[in-house]
This record gives sequence, structure tokens and C-alpha cells, in this order.
Amino acid sequence: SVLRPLLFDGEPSEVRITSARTGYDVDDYLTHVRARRSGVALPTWLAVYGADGRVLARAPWPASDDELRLDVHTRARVARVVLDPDRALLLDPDTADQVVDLRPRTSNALLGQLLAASQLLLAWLGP
Amino acid sequence: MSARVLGLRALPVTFLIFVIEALFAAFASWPNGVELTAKLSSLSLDPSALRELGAIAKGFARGHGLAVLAMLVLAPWLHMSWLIMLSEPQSPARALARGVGRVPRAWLIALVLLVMFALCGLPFVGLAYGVTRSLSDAPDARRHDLALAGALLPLIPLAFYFHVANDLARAAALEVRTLRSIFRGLRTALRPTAFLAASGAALVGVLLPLAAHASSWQLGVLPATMLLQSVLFMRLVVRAAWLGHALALVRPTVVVDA
Repeated sequence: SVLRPLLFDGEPSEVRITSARTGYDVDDYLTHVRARRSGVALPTWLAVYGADGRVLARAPWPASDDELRLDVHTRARVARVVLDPDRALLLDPDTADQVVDLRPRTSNALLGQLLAASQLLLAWLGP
Repeated sequence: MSARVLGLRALPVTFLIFVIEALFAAFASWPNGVELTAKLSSLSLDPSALRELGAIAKGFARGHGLAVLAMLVLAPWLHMSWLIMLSEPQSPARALARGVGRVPRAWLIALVLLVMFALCGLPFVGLAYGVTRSLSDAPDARRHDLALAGALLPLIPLAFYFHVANDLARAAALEVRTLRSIFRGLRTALRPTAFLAASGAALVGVLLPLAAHASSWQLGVLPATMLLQSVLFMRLVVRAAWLGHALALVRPTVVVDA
């Protein structure tokens, strides 16, 4: 029932993270992850990584669930959330939506970048 | 006097232009830029969050449209005041006041050069239109795109030539009438030394801020802001040096030795 649509009907098997956020929660870090799948449902994993690249946690996502709603508690801060970390779902045409970078980038730093970019635009059009 | 020294002479006006650009950028980025950066720093791929991000980005772009319009209106006055300050030592207030009187001339020069650029660019636009029509049914889309890019590519050096001519004509307009200054600007812009100096200044003006932007991602908030702001100011100092050189090229009374 899985092989026929994949091999003969050209059906994809897609998974994507729809939202991911992390924060400090009393005495550890709490990360909320939401993900959805489309096409042929195949079981896969979700992995969360720390800033040093270590795997902090892995959770299975059974083929029977269309949606993944997961709260992960970790001692270290989560830097990255990755769906299908072993890259087993080779029929997913877009893997960019399987990774979310959660490294803290303060909005102040981004605002500074944005302001400088605006100044540069105005400088190019200015005197 | 060297172009570098001429460039430093206009430091107060250069700083004023830097402040005006920073204020306009802050106005354009507020408050949507703050919301946008807050959203981007905790990026969610949820469709509703992306829709919200799109709405904020639209407001951000609207603010920038107004700032760009205001800058385009102010640019001729600031440009002429900068050149007046470079041409002879005087107080910034006097240079700005004298700059007001030169605004109509600056607008006229820009308008004439813009029309000339449009006329000179017309054959290339026609060529691009011809390429699009003749290759629209071609099976290879890449060939069509390359031919189109090839047809439009000469517009870049052409636009740069008229940009250099605009600087030179406005510099000449401090001394001679508008029409004569335009001809002098167009003629001087063809000189290899003028074109090379302008290209160098433009290249520094593009590459230096881009390099600063790329490297500032690795830094903290304060060092990144300091780096970006000092590079943006440096860019204006380099442009002032080029304008000093432009003055020396079109006005024989100003001697350049650099």
C-alpha cells in the first residue's frame, strides 16, 4: 500500500516543520515543535541539537499521525530542530522546511543590521 | 590641493548628510522594522505567522518609499552644498544656504542627463524587446534569458557614465551656466582618469558596506553597530574625496595632485 503510490504513481512523501520555538522553563529548556506531513505517510524522527552540535533529544513520529505536536525538555539550550535527521525520506522534494535554527539572535542586532541597510539604500539614492 | 584634503574640508557637511541618512533610515524602520526584527529573531514557519510577517514587511516597505522620496527631494540641495563646501573654505551653514540657490540648476542637470540616458538606452531596450519576441518560442529558456541579459547589460555602464557626468556637471555648475556645465560634465566623464577615479570610489562605496554587513553577523550588537556606522560614514568620506577630485577636473582653479 506504500510502495505502489511511491514507485508507480509518483507520489511524494513530505514532512515539514510548521513552527518551532524554545525558551527557559523553570529549571530546564522547553521547546515546542509542530510539524505536518503530506503525500505518503512514512515514519520518521525529530531531533533537537545543542549549540555544540550534540543531539539533545530524539523523538519518533509514527506514520499513523498526520501532525506532530511535541514539547521537548532539555537541560541545554536547543540550537536547531531537525526533522528526518537521518535523511531517510529521499522522496521529499524540499528539505529546507525540515530544519529550524533556534540560535538566539537578538532583535537589537537585527535591527542594527536593518537600519544600516536602510541607510545604505538612502545613501545610494542620496547626494 | 589634493582630492583627499578637499574631501576632508567638507567633513561637517559629510557628517550632516550621514546624520540625515541615519534619521531617515530610523524613520523608515520605525515601528515596522522593530516588529519585523522581533518576528525574524523567533522565526516560525507557520502559515499564519508568515502572513503576519508579510503584512509587517509591507508596512516596512511603505515607510521606506516615503524616506526614499524625501531623500530624492533633498539630494540635489545636499549635493550642491557638499560641492560648495568642497570648493572653498566656509562655514557649513553658509554652504547649506548657498546650496539652496543652486537647487534649480542641480534639478535641471539631473533632468537633462536623465532624458539623455533614456534616449541612449532606448536602442538596448528595443534590442531586448526584439530578443524577447524572436526567442519567445525557443525551446531553451536559458538561451532566451542570456540573450535578454546580454541586450540589457550595456545599460549598467551607460547609467554609471551618466551618474559620473551628473557629479561632474554639478561640480562645473558652481562656476558656469547649466548647459555648458552639462557638456563639460559629459566630456570630462569620458576621460579615463575621471572614469577610473569614479569607479574606484563607487566600488569602495558598494564593497565596503557589503563586507561590513557580511562580517557583522559574527559580532555582538554594539561592535556590529559601530562597525556598520563607521563604514557608512567612511563611504561618505570616500565619496566626498571623489567629489573633490571631480571639482578639480572641471574647474581649472582647483588643482589636484592625487
